[in-house]
Amino acid sequence: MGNTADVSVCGDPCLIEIAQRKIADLEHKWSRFLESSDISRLNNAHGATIRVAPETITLVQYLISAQHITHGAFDPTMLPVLIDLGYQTSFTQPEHVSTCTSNPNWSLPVSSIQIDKHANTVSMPVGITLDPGGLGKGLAADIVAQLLMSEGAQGVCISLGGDIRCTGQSPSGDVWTLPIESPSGERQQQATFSSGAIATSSVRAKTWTKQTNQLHHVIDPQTRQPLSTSGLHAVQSTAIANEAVWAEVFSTAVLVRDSAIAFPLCDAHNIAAQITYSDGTTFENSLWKEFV
Amino acid sequence: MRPRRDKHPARSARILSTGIAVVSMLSVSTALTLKAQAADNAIQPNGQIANGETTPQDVATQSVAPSTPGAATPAPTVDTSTITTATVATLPTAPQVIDVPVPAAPQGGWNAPATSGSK
Repeated sequence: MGNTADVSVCGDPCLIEIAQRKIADLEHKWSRFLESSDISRLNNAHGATIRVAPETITLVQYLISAQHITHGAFDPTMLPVLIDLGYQTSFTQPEHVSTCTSNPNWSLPVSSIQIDKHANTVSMPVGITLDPGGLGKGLAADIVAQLLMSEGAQGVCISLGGDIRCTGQSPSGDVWTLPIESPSGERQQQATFSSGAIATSSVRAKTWTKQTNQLHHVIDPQTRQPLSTSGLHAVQSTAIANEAVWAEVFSTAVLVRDSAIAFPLCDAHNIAAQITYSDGTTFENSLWKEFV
Repeated sequence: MRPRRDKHPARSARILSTGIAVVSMLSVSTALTLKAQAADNAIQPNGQIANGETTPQDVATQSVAPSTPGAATPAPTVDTSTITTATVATLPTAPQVIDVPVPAAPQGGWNAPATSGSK
């Protein structure tokens, strides 16, 4: 997943190995940089029906649901844009390259993807591709946390690249307290909750240069271009939710749509959110103060 | 002087054998119950148990419908209105010093991961 995984477990130390195996397993199924992954096979299926792992069925369902719930602010079909802009190769493993052989057809909705949950198959129309992106990391954190709790852990904290899911008893026996890094890397805030998840999105992460232009990976689905970084602009967003997958989805939605549009969406789903601008100012929705 | 036996050896043996018989009967009964439960919970080809229960491994290997977004569970708050002020009594004499053994502090505290936009 091109990031560091941080796994903390209250319970049998052997649960750490179970977590490592599961994270590696999901990486092999979901990475767009691995040719044999379910996602790469789907993206290069040219409309054919592909049999995938049950977890991938779950992932595809979440990708479709996330776009629907955020009214398109979270869009999992932006892979052709990223590749065209130059983000084709893994930052951490340059030997791994994304492939996407068909031309995008932007008029096709993700709801046209057909899923057979009983046969574990997915059919994507030609012209649609999927990029799990941050949602994949959040969902992986949720799945691993749930697996470890079902295996007897008393408490679990899973962080996959900063998408963090905490459940059960914390190491201190109290609530979970997690630092929030500012865009400059300072840890001036802490989120506290009994159970839940937190995720942060930023335009200053995963950047690259193309023809002297510095680009980043957060794409506005309306313009199909990276979010603007000129003038006063949103730099980072953080969301706190019940699960890491939703924290990730809403942190992306806030960054893409800005607070005026995204905060009412967060309020409607009881998501706490904060947005930080390039001049250092921050804005939060009303739920934020319950956790920070 | 040898101690006097309270019971005849044969009587003790009889009690012992009766005890073994009861234990055996309970074991057979338990085994039959377990066998009956196993039959009821026959595992289906898809790995799901017939009565709807799933094994821990199945939880992570079956596709699941997306959950709905929602709030994290906030940390419990202390209701200050229920706290009463205790009356502090004046100590009549100087306090006594008692040595109480305190366990050593943990060598390594837990370093919570930070959320950042690094992904």
